[in-house]
Amino acid sequence: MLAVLAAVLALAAPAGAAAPPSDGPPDLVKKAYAAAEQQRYCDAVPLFLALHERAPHAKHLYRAAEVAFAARDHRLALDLYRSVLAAYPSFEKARLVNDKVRQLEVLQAKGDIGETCPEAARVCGDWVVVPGEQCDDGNAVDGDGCDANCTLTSCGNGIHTAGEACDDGNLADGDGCDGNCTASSCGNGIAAPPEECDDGNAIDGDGCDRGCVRSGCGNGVVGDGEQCDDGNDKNGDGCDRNCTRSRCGNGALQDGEECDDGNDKNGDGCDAGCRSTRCGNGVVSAGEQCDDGNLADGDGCDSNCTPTGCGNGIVTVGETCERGHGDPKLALLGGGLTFAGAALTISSPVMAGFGAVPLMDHAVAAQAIEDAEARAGDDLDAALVDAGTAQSIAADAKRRWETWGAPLMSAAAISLVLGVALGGAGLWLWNENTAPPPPPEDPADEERIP
Amino acid sequence: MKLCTTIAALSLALASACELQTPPFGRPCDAENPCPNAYLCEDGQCVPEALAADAGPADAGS
Repeated sequence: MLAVLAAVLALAAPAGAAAPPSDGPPDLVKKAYAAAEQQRYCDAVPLFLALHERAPHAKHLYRAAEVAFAARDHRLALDLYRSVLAAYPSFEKARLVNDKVRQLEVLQAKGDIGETCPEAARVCGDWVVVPGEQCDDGNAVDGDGCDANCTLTSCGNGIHTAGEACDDGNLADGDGCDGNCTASSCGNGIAAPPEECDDGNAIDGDGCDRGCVRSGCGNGVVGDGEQCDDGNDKNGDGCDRNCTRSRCGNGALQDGEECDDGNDKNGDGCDAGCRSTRCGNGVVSAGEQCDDGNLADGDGCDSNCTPTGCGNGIVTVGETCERGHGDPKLALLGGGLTFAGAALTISSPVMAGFGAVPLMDHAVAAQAIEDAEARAGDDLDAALVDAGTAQSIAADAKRRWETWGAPLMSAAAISLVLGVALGGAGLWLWNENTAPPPPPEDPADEERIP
Repeated sequence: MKLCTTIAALSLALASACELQTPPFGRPCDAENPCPNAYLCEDGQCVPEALAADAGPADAGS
């Protein structure tokens, strides 16, 4: 036991002696050697191992094995000696290490495993990195790479260090301290609710405006091409939803407007004054001679937007009729009369034709009688026979003529006259009640007629 | 124009047709239906006087 201690102490640096920088953190070196010197071998083992982690020299691992041997933890010591040989085969004390390995193997073979170092409670700052620690630099100084909570110095480790405005131990945004360790606020470059965006600056129109709202109409920030921006999509509140000031002609429909097409042109569907293009909207547009803003007749400008007067198609005071002022009943009557007149006119020659049949028969018979009379000088009897026959035919034709031929002819004449008269009257009625009023002249200029 | 012509023709036809004139030669005749001038009633038929003279004296007409 004394030999082991002596060996360990022989290896240990003199107390207070400064170890070369390459040996590892001086504080750790000092602490490890102090533990060994104070014969706290079990405490010294993890310190030398921590030292070896930070400065991987064979001697650190070898000293860890030596203090384990001094602590009589044969199993741990054997493992560590073997590790030395495995990691550093050309270690200058390899022969000595081999002897120790054989010695310990003999002891183990005899069942002598020595003692077991107790598991020491590990705390942050004891140089030994255990699960749950990212690092352990043996101190409680923040910002030196390993902070006091044994996490690497960085944003989100919960330690407020240089360059950080805050550090809430997480990288979540909007919880008061954002993922870039700046206080959650507009302009910190982190878009967190209720921010639409956050470009880390207060420049408007660059995609993300002041107030952390996206550049555009309706974000409450007047940007390029906007006359105003009240941050809402209401029209008529002074600034309309298209970010133009509320007024007729800005293209945004608001109360009191029938339409708004964004221009002051008349006759394009929405006239100046934001009233739909139509007769009676107070704006004279194409096809209108006047427009007094109402559809009353007789007030100077009638409901068809023509000046009050005879011939404008509107019957007003002092007029009994108007061409083009259509009366459907009269139009229907006109149509009927026209049809009847046409029927009578067409039927008249037919009736005349039938009525003329006995007339023609009589003419033929009369001619036969005259022919027979001309032949009477040659053969009176024969001529009388022919004439008698012709007389019978003539008499029959005359009877037919008198009974229905003549009346039919008269009816044909009357039908013709009546048909022409009715047709003419019907056509006139039809025309008067269906024809549109004469088109008004296009106004040379568009003007309001109050 | 055609309409006017038709109306005129029809009017003429109506005027002329008020009374159809049949030549008297060979027309049946008797005491109640005498023959017109220059015709004689011979054997119940109107015959020109010139031809009826050969057949005998006239028994009717005026």
